[in-house]
Amino acid sequence: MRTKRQNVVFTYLLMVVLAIYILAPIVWIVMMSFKNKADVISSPPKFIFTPTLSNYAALLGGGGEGQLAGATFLSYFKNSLVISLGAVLLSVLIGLPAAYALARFRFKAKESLAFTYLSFRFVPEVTIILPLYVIYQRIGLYNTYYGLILVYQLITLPLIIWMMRSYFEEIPVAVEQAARTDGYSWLGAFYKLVLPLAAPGVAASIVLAFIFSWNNFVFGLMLGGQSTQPVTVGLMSFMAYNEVLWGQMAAATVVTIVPEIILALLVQRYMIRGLTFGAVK
Amino acid sequence: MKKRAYLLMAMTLILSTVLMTAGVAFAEEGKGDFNWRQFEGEKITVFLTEVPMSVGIRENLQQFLDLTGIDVEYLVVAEAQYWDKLNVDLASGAGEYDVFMSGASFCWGWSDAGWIEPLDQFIEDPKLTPAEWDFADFYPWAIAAQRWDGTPGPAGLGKGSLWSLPVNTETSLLTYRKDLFDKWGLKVPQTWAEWADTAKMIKEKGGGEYYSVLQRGALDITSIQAGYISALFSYGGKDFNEDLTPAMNSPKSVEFTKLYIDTIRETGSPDWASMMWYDVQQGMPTGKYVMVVDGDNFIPTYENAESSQVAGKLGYAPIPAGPEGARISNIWTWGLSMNSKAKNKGAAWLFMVWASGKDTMTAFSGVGSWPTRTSVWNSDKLVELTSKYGDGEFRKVLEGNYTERARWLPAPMVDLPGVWNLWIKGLHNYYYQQMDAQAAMDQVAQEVTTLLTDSGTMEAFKAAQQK
Amino acid sequence: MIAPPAEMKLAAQMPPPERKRRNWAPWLMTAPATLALIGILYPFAIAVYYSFTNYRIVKAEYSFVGLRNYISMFANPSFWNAMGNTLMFAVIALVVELTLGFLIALLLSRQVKGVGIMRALLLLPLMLPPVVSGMMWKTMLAPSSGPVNAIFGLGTFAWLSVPWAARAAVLFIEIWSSTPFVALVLLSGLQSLPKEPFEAAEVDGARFWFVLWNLMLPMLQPFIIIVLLFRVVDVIKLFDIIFATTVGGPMNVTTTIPIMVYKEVFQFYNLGSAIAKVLMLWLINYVICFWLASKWRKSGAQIG
Repeated sequence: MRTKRQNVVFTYLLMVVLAIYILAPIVWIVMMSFKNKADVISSPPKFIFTPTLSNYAALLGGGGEGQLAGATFLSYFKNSLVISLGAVLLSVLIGLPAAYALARFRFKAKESLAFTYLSFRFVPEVTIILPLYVIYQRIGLYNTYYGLILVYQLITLPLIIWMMRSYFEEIPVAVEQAARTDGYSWLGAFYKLVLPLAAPGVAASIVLAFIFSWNNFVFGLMLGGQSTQPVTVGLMSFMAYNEVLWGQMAAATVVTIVPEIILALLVQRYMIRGLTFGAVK
Repeated sequence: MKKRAYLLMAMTLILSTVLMTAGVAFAEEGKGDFNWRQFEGEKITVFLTEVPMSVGIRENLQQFLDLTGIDVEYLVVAEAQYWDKLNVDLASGAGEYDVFMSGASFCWGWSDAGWIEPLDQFIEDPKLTPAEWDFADFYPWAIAAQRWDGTPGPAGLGKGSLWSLPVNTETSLLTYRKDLFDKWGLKVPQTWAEWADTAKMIKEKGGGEYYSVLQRGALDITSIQAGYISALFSYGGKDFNEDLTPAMNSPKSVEFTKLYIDTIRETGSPDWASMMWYDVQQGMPTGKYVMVVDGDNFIPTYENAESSQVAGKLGYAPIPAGPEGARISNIWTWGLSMNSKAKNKGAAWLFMVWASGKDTMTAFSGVGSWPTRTSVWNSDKLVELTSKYGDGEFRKVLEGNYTERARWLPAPMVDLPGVWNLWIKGLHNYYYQQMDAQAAMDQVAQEVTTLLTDSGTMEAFKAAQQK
Repeated sequence: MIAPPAEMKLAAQMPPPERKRRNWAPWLMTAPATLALIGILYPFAIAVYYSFTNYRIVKAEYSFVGLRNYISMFANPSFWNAMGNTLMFAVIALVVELTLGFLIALLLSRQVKGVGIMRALLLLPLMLPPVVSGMMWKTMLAPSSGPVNAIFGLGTFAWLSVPWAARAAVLFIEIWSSTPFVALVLLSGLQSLPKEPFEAAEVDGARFWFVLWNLMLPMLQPFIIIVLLFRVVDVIKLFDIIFATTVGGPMNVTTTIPIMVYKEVFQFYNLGSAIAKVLMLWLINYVICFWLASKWRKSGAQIG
């Protein structure tokens, strides 16, 4: 009994250490977002200071110092939402069938196809940006949501396909076959059994795909314009002429993280339930 | 008899009225004959980065729209990303932007590539440029910095076509902690040798509380631009000889580089090698540094009483002189250039005229954005603003810069960013004592020669020589 | 007693009998994904072509120069420096991230109260966009005004200006940011493992290390491979964090191939020779991922 208690204490201790490791820099950034101009770059750094809401006010009120002409921070934020949600949605729609096919079927060139999906990530974006820009301008995809959602598939699709594939492969075919003999259609079996069993994987892939797409910078900068540039480009606008508005940049960073956190929290409970094959059988 | 007299009088009256009206009409035509609405209904796209000028443009844009009836669409992107995005568009030939902000050093590559339109033809055309725009009002050295005839090297500067309209300028000066100088009984260094000595004295008297000097040093091309190159030229060093051979390793250049880097290493802060321009700009207000030689656009930040520890404590002096007494300051100009692929060049030009006009420039000249027109520099607004700093010393130093010391220093060539990339790497090598100053600069010179040969610049230069 | 996973895995590889007829099904199901991504082949092909030319982005005319870019690249010591840095960062980062990530996954797979919150918080470092994360870290590592030096009492140590420390700092930031990805994938992998083998092992009285080495890790292999497949590529491409903190300095000690390529394109304007370097990265990624993917195939077939 004592060993088990020690175990629990030890676990909590480790979790505290982990929390500090993960959160300390984030906490510092949050603190920065509440500091005024003098405090934010003070030397030595201030851990105790009078907080101010001015950074958030400027940010969310729009048009403040560091806000670029014609595009307030909120408009960048909206663009990011549209593009990232759109990209992930599209990737799930076309990636899930692909992942299932790769997991379940044997067909010629299957591994080559899977590998090819992966290979699109092998080079840094700067490689293709010039030819891609020319193409986008010519076919009218420059500065459009569609264009960005499409190019973001390079980021989200390989991840979703490969991760989903591995989770599908973990689910025994016997499960599906049992469902079929019970009278479910193939699609029904998929929705009612396979998907729930793969839930941790689906959840993890979606969150990760969203995060990576939300964080992307180069495609948004180069292929986006006034009405479509994402929040990562907007974050850079706080490097204003003659100075860096650290307080506002920190506040903007905090606000930027919010949708990612919300998604992670929403999806987090799907990641808890483990598989119990016993229950299925 | 009387009837004829009346007839004569009437005819004279009518004739003179007609003549007078005609005369008045002619006179009025001479005055208001500039047609601001000649490109009404056309559309242009403008690409800006966030400098006060673009804020001014944004705020006053309605005035331009009302005046000309031209439709303006604009995009603003932060400076760090601005050049990359612009270069991608220019290289792609897509011609997305009709007018965009430019800096002298980028115009070299762009003009060589044929991406920008020479502007003289527009300035000289009275139908396109109103007389009151007053081209002569611009500082001659600011205009000269935008002219290049395409020949690589120092000889080509200031000649040839005008590639951009400068609207904003930055020069270098020495800023120092007057309060500490008074406290320690130090004199303002007049030469670079004195600068080095003063730095050592500050270190002794400072008791470890202060860093004597603050300079840019990050492995980025902007580190060469403001303080270092102005100082180098003042000392008698330079980047290239007239025959385009590198001169970073000339005896004077090496001597200065050694003095400069040694002083920074011994008396500066340990993070020189990661100091970007914004680190200099926010370093001085922390109060930890005593002397800085960098751009005049940082001064309002240094003097901002709300956020700076050193507001009101600063003194200003011209850049220290070299052994021959020369004080030279490099300049940076922000300007407007026109895309050679612009569809509505006339409309684009009118925008540039408006944005660089006296009124607009006065509107956006201010906090760290110093104008390129003499009339605006002498306007009430700017006189009041700039006389605040250092009890008028700041304005005096800048006026001295504008009349005597300021000119574009780096030799124009397409490879300029590459040259500066190799140069700052060489400075790093010496700072970290991987090699001595001569060897480090020799390596820079060698790499630069290879660069110019490989890129074809050397060849182009020799071909131009033979003409 | 260890039989079940093997059977299941083998079964997973076998096509369900009734699907043998419809062998157009997989092609149909993968077609949209293929179509979405195929467009990128054209710009990629153009880029590859450029690597055999002397294309400079400031010059419209360029000519075919064969292997010249590649030859001068191999002869360039800066290239080898950058390649060395790239690979060194990759190896160190991966080893640390895998180890740390696995330990974190183990920790968070325990059923204690509050684990759910930790799992959600876990991703926070990953959620900071690299472009801004680098800048924030630069302020945190500042000699006199940064909290890192203040908290650990390091005086005015200039992290980003001392060569070895700059490398350590870049590595630390990257590891801090990306270990959550590893932990999350491994955690969800742990969640999806069947319970029987472990329960059986516990009944048999097996010790922790035995369970770990012989049960857990082999069953986690697909997930470990996934992690590696994505992390290898991403850490080799690492750019934003380095650019924001050290710009490749001091003296090129943190210059990796992506940094070198960026400067090559936007400062030297040499797109042709820049792409030659990028293709070296592509090759390395290809070889490593090919090897990893082959391990994947094996792990499915080998048990049993």
